[in-house]
Amino acid sequence: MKTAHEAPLGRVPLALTPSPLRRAPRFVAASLLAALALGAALPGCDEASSDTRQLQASRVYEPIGRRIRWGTPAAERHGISARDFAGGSMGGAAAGGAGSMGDDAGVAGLHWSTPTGWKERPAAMFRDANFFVAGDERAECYLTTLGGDAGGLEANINRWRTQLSLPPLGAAEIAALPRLPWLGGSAASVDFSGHWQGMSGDQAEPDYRLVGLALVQPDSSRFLKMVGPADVIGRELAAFAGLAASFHDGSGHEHAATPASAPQPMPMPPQGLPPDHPPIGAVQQAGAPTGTPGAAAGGAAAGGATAAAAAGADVQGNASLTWRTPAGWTRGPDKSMREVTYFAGAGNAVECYVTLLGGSGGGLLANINRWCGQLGAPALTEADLVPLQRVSMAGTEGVIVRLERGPGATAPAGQDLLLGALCMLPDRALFVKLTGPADAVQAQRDALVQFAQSLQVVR
Amino acid sequence: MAMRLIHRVIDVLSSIGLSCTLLIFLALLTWLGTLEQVNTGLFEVQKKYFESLYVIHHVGPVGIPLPGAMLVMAVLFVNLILGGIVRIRKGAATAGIMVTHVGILLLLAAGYVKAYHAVDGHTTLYEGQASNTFDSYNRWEVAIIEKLDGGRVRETVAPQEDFERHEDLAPAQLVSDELPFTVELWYYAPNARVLPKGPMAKTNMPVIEGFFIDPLPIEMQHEQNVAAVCVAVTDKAGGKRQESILYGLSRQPWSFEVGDKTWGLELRREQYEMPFTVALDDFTKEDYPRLNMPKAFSSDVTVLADGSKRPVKISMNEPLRKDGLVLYQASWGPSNARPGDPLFSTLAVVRNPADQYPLYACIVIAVGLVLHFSRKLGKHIRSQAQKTP
Repeated sequence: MKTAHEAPLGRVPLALTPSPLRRAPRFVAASLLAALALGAALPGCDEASSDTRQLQASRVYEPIGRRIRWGTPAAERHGISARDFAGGSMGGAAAGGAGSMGDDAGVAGLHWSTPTGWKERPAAMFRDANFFVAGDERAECYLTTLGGDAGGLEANINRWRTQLSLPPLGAAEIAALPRLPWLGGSAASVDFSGHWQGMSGDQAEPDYRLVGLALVQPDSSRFLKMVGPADVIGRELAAFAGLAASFHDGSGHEHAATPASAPQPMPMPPQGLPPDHPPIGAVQQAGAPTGTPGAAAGGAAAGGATAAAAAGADVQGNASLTWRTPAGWTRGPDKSMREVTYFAGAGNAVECYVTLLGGSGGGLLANINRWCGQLGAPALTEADLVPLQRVSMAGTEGVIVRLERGPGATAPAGQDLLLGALCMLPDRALFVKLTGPADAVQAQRDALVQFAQSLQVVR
Repeated sequence: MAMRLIHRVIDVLSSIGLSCTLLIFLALLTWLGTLEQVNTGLFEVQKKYFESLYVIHHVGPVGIPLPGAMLVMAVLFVNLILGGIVRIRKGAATAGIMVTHVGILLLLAAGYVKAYHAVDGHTTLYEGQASNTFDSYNRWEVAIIEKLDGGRVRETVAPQEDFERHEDLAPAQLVSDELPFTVELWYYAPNARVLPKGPMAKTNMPVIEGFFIDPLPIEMQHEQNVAAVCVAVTDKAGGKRQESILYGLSRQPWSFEVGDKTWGLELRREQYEMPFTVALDDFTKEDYPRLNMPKAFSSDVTVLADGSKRPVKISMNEPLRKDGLVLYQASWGPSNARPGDPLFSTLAVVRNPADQYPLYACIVIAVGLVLHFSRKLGKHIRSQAQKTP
């Protein structure tokens, strides 16, 4: 039977196609020849006959949503600090000197003197001037310019306090903050200490300090913020004050500034509080029992110790967590990213450690499947989570997961079995991971459950 | 003799053998292009394998010539018309097949229109901002801007083809009777950064205003490439020459004076004008509980056109369609925004005259298949009924 394709074309008697496959090579060859012929012809057709191009007709319009600044210098157009340009050396950025900034919002450019030893970083979104304090990458300082009142002084100060796990200040306390003359206005000066949880609440750094200036004005607001480990910040207060005082609009200023010719620092006392600074600690203590400078002086570790003491003599803990150590477990050395490490079983073949991450830590399933990847075990699905054993841990419900080593495991040899306890807290994720030889790990299952149940988060 | 040759050509072009060959080539190109995408990225693969008439596919050091997908689909279009519609036996038995062929032709036509007559890009707005233009993801242009009174500008644009081949010292010259100067562009780098020339910086590139272009490898994500080019303007009257570097990330144009007027030159993503203005009133992002992962995000915009205002909500599956443009909610940022930070909304803008063709084509194909198989089914039922004693 003929196919529809094989019917004749009108009255033209065309040969039928007996076997498409038999004729295919001819079509392949024909297609290739056509492609090559076209390919050979194309470059010649597409090549410009001349290097001179006639421009299209112009059009006149009013750009909406854009403000063109005519005469913008090359350094600003290319987004590079004027020091790199004027100083003739890229190395000048780290050595201190004069800098400048500009933005496309039409705000006048600023100039400054980078404190000696500080490392200037490229400007970034919401960071018009950007530094590592004293070359310590844990400590940052940056200047932010926002349009309008940026939500107001109270909202911005309390955003900073939230980042330090501190309770918000009331309007009266905000109004009582000391004021310093800065950039032609009166800026609120703050100095807070607390437990740093980062911009997004996904960090957990105890004993941090934030020193800042907030100049909130109806048309444009500027914020200068220095944050980092309290000891680093404490040493750099004078440098911060000097940096703050050095910001100016560039009028009458030559870019030959050296640290020696830099403007004199603001008169801030060594402790960072201006002479007329109110007792913030007293304010905070009146309004909130935790996160006060007093508490910060002892560090969050003191809070952890207090919580541990309140929980009982057999309770151990650190700044973030308290727990009870199961019998037979030996505490191991502290390691980064771990709250605590234990060893158990014969020859300490079983290792157990606790991790506390900010935010969701990627989520329950993602973390379990990360472990699956390490062990070479098949990945789980949401449905696989349903039958998992539940356990009460850190004031919420956690799950116990058991993963056996499979092909393609990347975990070190000897980690044949993994028992894990995981729970998601409102702002953090808590993981307990127990690994080792299968029999030894299995023998610690009850201890793991007891350990997980004993975990409490220090608030 | 001539008729015989014509018949022979028609025979080849209308045969089902050619159909099979072309479909095999399409499958092969899709497979090879997918593999190549791992190394070169989507944009380059699309250009090389699917928007080309021929392609040289390299297997190690050996280059294998293949027809490009554009050529294959063009020939397939002819094949379908000749074989599937002209040559096919007309009758009730083939009605469904003919309709299906028409649907496939419509699909191919949609691809052609999309390839040659559609533009896509994005407009990115913070709350309170408005725009009447959108930017290409991949293409660059050089704009010559004349400052006029009242915040207006006169703009002359050179497309990427005018300067992209001039990656060395031979400049591309742009001329226009409307301009009192000529423009030269050279050392075009499709992906680069612009660095200040310090005493320790070594470069063979021209140093202009203390800066030089540092070419970078092409990014696989093509939209991440940022172009740069050297530029010089020469006054037609006095012959004065001024030079600078144009960089794709520059926020402001290079300004220069010719005569008594101020001019600007900038390298930017190719820009398209919209026949209306979109103002972002409110951007809403809803996260999954206890996760930083967005569950949904939407933009409340005001569309301003012809003196009228119209509020519209653009969400992930609810685009705005107006004047031949479709505005989709594409993304938001900055991705590292802190709580309370202002967010921007990115609206993908597509002008594709054939954006509904695939839908129509699928309907036509579905109708054709239903016709064909309904008839087959009816025939089968009748034959079974006849067999039943």
